[in-house]
Amino acid sequence: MKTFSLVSLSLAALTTACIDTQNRLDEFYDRSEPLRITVQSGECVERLDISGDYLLAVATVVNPSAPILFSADFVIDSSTEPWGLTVAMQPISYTDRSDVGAAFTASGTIASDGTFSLDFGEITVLGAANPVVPGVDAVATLLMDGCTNSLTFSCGNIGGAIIEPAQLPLTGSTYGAVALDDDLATAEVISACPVAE
Amino acid sequence: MQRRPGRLAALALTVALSATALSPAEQAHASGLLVARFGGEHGHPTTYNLTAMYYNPAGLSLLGGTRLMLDGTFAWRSFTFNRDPAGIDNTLADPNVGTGTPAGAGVEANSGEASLFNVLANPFIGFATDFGVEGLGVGLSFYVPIGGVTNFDKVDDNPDFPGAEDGPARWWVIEGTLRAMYFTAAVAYRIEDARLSIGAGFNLVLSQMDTIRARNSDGTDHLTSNGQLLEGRALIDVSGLDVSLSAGLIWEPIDHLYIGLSYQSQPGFGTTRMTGDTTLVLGAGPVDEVTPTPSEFFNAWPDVIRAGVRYGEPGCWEVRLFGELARWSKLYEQCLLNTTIADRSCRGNPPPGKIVLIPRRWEDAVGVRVGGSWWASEDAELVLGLGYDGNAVPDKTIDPALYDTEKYTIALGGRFALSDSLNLSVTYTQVIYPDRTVAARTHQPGATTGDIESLGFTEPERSPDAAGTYKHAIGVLDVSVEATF
Repeated sequence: MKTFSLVSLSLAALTTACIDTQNRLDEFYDRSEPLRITVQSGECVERLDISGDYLLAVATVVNPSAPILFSADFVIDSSTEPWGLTVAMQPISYTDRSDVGAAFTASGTIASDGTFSLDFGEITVLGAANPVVPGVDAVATLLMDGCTNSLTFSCGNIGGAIIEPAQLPLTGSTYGAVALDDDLATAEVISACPVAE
Repeated sequence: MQRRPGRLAALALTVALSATALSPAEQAHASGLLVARFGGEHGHPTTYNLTAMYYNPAGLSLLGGTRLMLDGTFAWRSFTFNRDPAGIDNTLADPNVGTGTPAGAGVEANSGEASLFNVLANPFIGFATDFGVEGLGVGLSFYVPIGGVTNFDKVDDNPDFPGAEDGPARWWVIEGTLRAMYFTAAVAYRIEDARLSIGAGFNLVLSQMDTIRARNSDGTDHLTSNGQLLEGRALIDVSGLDVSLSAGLIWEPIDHLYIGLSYQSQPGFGTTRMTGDTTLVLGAGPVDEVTPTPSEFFNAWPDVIRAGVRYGEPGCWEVRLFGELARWSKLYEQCLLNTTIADRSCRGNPPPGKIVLIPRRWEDAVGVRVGGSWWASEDAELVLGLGYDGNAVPDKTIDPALYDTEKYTIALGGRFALSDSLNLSVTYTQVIYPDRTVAARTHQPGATTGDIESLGFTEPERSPDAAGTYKHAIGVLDVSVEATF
C-alpha cells in the first residue's frame, strides 16, 4: 500500500497546478496576528467571599457573541488559608435557561489578591446548551482563571480546548459570573471582564 | 492508407454533421466535475485507442499488437466570481456592535470580484498488448477523469479584515484540489463471428481532497463579532482508495460502422470515504495551540453511461456521434466528520461529529458531442468536433469551488503518422461557458442570516450564500503520442 501511495503521489504531481494550502493558512495566521487576542490577566486586588448562586456566561473565542450559559454555585471556605473554593457549573439552555445535562465541579484555592485557577477536566455541554454550534454536543477541557472582583461579580479567562465536535483551543475565551438576586431566567449576561476605560 | 477521390465532399459532410451538435435538447444537463478530455476527439465510447480503457474497454480489442500511449491534457482556465453584496448574511451599521460584516470596508472585503487564471496539466498513460492472440486486448493505464484544481488570485489587503486578501470566493475555496485518479486494468475480446467486442475494466481509484476555505463555526460569512475577528479557516487534507468497475460493448454490424455502449461504475459503488486531517482556526484566539482534527470526508462520484456511433471510410473520412449520462444526482451532500467520535454520522439534526456538511443536491447531466475526421493525406487526419454539456449544479448549491453550468465545445486537431509505428495527435478544444447569475437568498425580517430553510436545508448545512455572477472559460490542448511495437 505504501508503494502504491508513493506512486500515486508521484503521478498526482503531474496533474496539478501548484497549490500549497498550508502556506495559505500560514499567510492568514500572519495577517490576522495583530487582531488576535493576547490573553491578559485583569487586575485583581481583593480576596472576597463571593459564595452564592450566579449566572455564569462563557464567551468562547470561536464565537463570543453566543455565550454558553451556566447556573453556577460558588462555595468559599474562608476558614482555611488559603481560602478554599468550589464551583459547580450546571449547563443551561440558551433558549429558556432550563438545566441541560449534568453539572460539573472543580475545586481550588483563592490567593490573597483574589485570583484563583480551577481545572474542570473534561466536560460535556449538550447541544441544547450550546449556542455556538446549536444542537451539537461539545466536549472540552475547561480551565478557569478568575478573580473575586466584587461580592456579586467574578470574571476572568477560560482556557483549555474543545475536543468535540472538532479540536479547537479555547485560549482567548472569557467568562463573567453575575450573582443572582432574582430569577435566573432574567439575569443579565456578562461574559467578560469590563474593558478598562 | 491511400488518398481517395471525394475527400472534399467527405469533409463537407463531416462539418455539416458536426454543426448539428449545436442544437442540444433544452433539458440536457452537464457533467459536473468530469474533466476527461484525454484522447481529444478520439476519446469516446467507440474509440480504438488506449483511452478506451476509460471510455469503453471493449475498444481495446479493435487494434492488435502492443501499444503505448502517452497523452497530456494541458488546460488554461479563466474564472471570475463577482459576489453579490446582497448575499452577505448580516451587514452591521456599527462595526463594533453585533456579529456580521461591517458596512463599508467590511462589505468590500466580503463581496466583489474573485478571479483566477490557472494552467493545468493532466496525464493519460496507457499500455496494452494482445499477447499475440487475435481479437484480444489487455491494458493498464493511469489517468484523472474527475476533479480539478482551483487557485484563486489574491486581492487587495485590508488590515482590519485579514481574510479579505484571499478574495470573496474564500468561503468556498481559496485554493485546493478535489479529484479521482484512476489506475485501470482492462481486458477486451472481439468475437469475430458476431463482430462484437466485449470489454471490462477494474479501477483502483485514489480520491484526494486538499483544500483551504474561510469558515465560521455556524457556517455564516460573518467577519467580526463586536469588533473582534471572527472569520476563520478550515484546511481539509483527506484521501481514500476505492475500486470501481467498467464494462462495454462495441458492435460492428456492417463494415466500419461501430456502435458502442459502456458503463463506468461509481468509485466505491456509492459514497466514498476519505480520511485525513482537518485544521480549524475559528475566531480570534491565538493560533499556536491549533491542532488538526482526525477527519473523514464522505463524497460521491457519479456513474457514467456512454453511448456512441462512428462510421466512415478508413483513410478518407469518418463521422462520430456520442454522448454520456453522468448521474451526478448521487452527489447529495459532502460531509466531513470527526473520526474520534464513536457515533458520528452525516444524518441527524445536528449530525453527531459533524465538522462541515455541504449540501450539493446535484442533478444528472447529459453531454453530447459530434465530430468527424478527414484525411488530408495518408499520414494526416484532421479532426473537428462540437459538443454540448449541460449543468449538474442547481442554483441553490452553486459555489465557486465546484462550479458548473451549460457549456459548448469546439475542437480542432489532427492525428499525424510520424512513422509506421508512431502517431502524434494534437487537439485544441475551446469550452465556452455562458455567464451565469444567481440571485441572493431572501432574509426573513430581523434575521442575521440568509434563509436556507426555504431552500430545503437544515441549519447544520448552512454555508455562505454564493450569489453573484460567474464567468468561465477553458481551453484544452491535448497532445498524445501512440507507439505500436
